[in-house]
Amino acid sequence: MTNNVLEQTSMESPLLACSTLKPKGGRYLNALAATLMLTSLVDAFSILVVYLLMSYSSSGEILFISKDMVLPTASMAEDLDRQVIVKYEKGKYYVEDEELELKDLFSKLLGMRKEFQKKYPELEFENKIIIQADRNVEYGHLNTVIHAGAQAGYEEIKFAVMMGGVSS
Amino acid sequence: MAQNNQDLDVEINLVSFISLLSVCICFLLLTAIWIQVGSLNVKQAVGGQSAAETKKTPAVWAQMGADGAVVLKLHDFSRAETRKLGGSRLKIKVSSEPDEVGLWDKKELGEQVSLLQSINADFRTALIIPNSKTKYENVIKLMDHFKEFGMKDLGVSPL
Repeated sequence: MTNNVLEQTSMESPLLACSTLKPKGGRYLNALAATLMLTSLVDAFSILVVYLLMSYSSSGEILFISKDMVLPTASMAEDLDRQVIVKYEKGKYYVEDEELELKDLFSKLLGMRKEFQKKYPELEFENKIIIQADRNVEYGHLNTVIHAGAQAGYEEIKFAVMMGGVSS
Repeated sequence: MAQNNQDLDVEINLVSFISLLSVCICFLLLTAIWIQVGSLNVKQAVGGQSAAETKKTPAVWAQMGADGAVVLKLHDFSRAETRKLGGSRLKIKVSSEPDEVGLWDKKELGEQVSLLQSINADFRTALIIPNSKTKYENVIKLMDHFKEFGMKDLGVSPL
């Protein structure tokens, strides 16, 4: 029983074995080349994979946020799902990344709704819009989007925010 | 006996396992989303339904002032409840905290909301009325605070 598996696979210190003054260990005796510890590497890789899998999102990135835009933060935010996105950035309005004049906002939103109903008559249109804007924007600019949305029949508004901030 | 012990000593081929893990890590790193974007959901407060269809539930209309103060106006509370509160308008003063300049007093807002909830258990609705100069961030903050204090139905009023 002296030749058991545990003894055979017991770990030896590669650093101590490489010591030129007082080398310890059997196989590594006087060997100057340190061996790579594959077991710990596999452990580290496994932890990384588990961490990345935990933070994996199947929905992907819904919004494109430019570097000049800082979204407001909210601690009670919910997960964002794909809806019609209306963005206000640097004085310009965008619907699904298409720049629009303010006067065309209503017709565009209405058109999108009608197009969906025409394409998919068996499905129900969700009547929701996502509003994306910088945190320092005045509400007056977004009010026009809310108005246009209300007129086009969008009942629910989702304000895009950064999740998990501590609300002061 | 020695041969049997050698049979137990099975070596797992770690190289292929490491390759698999490396591919997994590369894929997950490339597809990872580092910025967590969420949403605060509100309903259109005005329009949509006729007055007859609308179910009357107790609600507050939170009017945001230019200085950061918030005035809560009570709607569809009974007269007895309003009398108990000392009126249908409750003013939340501006916060004195240095990191909350230009904002309402969150503690006072929380106290008023829990007072209203204790008076009427059905109270879950708040309608936010910002002014045109109100910062978008502050509107979101007020919504966030209301949600934190247990208000489920939030609405935002067009100007």
